[in-house]
Amino acid sequence: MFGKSLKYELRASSRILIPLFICSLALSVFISVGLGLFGNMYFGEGNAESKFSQTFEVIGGAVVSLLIMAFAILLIVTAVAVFVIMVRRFYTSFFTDEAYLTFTLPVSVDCHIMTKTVATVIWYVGYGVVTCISALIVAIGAVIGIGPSEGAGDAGHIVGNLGSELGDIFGESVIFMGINYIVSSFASLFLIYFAISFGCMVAKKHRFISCVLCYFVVSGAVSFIGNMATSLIMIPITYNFDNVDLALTITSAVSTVLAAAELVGCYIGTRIILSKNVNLP
Amino acid sequence: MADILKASALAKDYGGGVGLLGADISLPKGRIVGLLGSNGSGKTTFLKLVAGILTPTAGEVLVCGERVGLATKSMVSYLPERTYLNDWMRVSDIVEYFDDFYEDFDSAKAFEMLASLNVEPSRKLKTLSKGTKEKVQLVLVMARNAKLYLLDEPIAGVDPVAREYILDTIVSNYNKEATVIISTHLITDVEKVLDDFIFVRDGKVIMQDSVAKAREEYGKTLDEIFREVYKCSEKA
Repeated sequence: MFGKSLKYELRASSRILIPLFICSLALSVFISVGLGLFGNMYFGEGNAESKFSQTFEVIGGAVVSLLIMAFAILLIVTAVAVFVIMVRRFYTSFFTDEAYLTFTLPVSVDCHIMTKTVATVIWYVGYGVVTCISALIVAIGAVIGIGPSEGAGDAGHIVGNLGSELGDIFGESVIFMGINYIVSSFASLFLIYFAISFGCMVAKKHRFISCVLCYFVVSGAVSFIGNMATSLIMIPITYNFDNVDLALTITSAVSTVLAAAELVGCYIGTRIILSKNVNLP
Repeated sequence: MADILKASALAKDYGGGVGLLGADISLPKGRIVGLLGSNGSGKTTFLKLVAGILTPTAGEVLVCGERVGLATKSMVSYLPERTYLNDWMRVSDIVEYFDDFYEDFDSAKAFEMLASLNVEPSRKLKTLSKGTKEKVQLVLVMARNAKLYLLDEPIAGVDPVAREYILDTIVSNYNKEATVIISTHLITDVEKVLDDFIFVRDGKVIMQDSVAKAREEYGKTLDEIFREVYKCSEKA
């Protein structure tokens, strides 16, 4: 049932997100071609020869500038769209007339919640992949536009060594920081689910305001507990540490435990509300 | 004969008002049952409790001996009074959706019924009128070989010709081993298709019997019996 639920969940959200992803990639191709033709206008270095008259280069450069602005806006819009669509899908599936279909399917509440969560992860990973591919396409165009140069070479050397240099500075704590980031991200998502569920349970009218208020109250409480933990546990333990890596590891571990507690609490709360207290009109 | 549905002291309190007060209902299989009452009497609440959309405040309800849950949702086909279809889907998409989730769904039967309604499978649901969408929902529900059909006000808000069509569709397409519960306040229209009836008022079951027996006992139509029983329960 999970596979079937996920299939329809992705289908419901793909109508808007897939075209946005395609637009991002298409725009990056246009920018790449533009930079390849008019790269000298931007970077003014490297040894690529000017291919066109100065006037044409100015016009072409202006067009590429507009495309780059549009691309940046589109990336932001797409990120926002992923968030809004995923939140809206959760709300419409459980708290609007569509819930009459959702709750009569032979699918458990846990499966429904997992479907929404996995779909959100898929779309965010997809967004990340599309953004990286788009950036790579633009970079290729830029390199072609500049031509071989010491600047481009230095940039490539830095990017290539970034991973190992981070590892040299932070050591094993990078792994814990990564785990903390993932757990915190899921905790944030389940906090949103819980806020929507609780807000809709207590309010039949003005639900948006109710959900937003609930979100701020719960996240405020979670932040307060996190700050208390930082003051009472992490600072005393790590204050005199000479070993930055160990201090960061302990900090990340404590943050991860707190985020995991938030995740579990919000998941259980959401599950209880969806199982018992929806009371569809 | 084993009961297909058994509700014991079933109650639902919404907090701001009572939906159902201690209903005791037993229904055998293979019957068409009218759940009859005025607006706000508790009919929809009862159907939602059996469908698993609401959780009871007290009591329990069993479908084929099982508590309401995942197993019973596979056996129960529910038609709410609201339209729940996703507007972005095509008719064929929603048929595929039901086929995917319900093992007892007969997609060939569904397409046959849609053809008789002149609804093209390739049409988007948002292009259909409200009445046609409701008929599509009815088709989806009746195309299942369920053990229990719950139809909430299937003929409300439609013209008399459409009512005839809907009732004919229900009677000719349901699984004859199953039980159909039709909730309505339009008693005159459904009377001819009913085997049994349950009168509901203010969240309570005030009468339950077979239609033939009641007509013989009272010498009146079901609608007339309903009016008489309602008046009596008002005075009581």
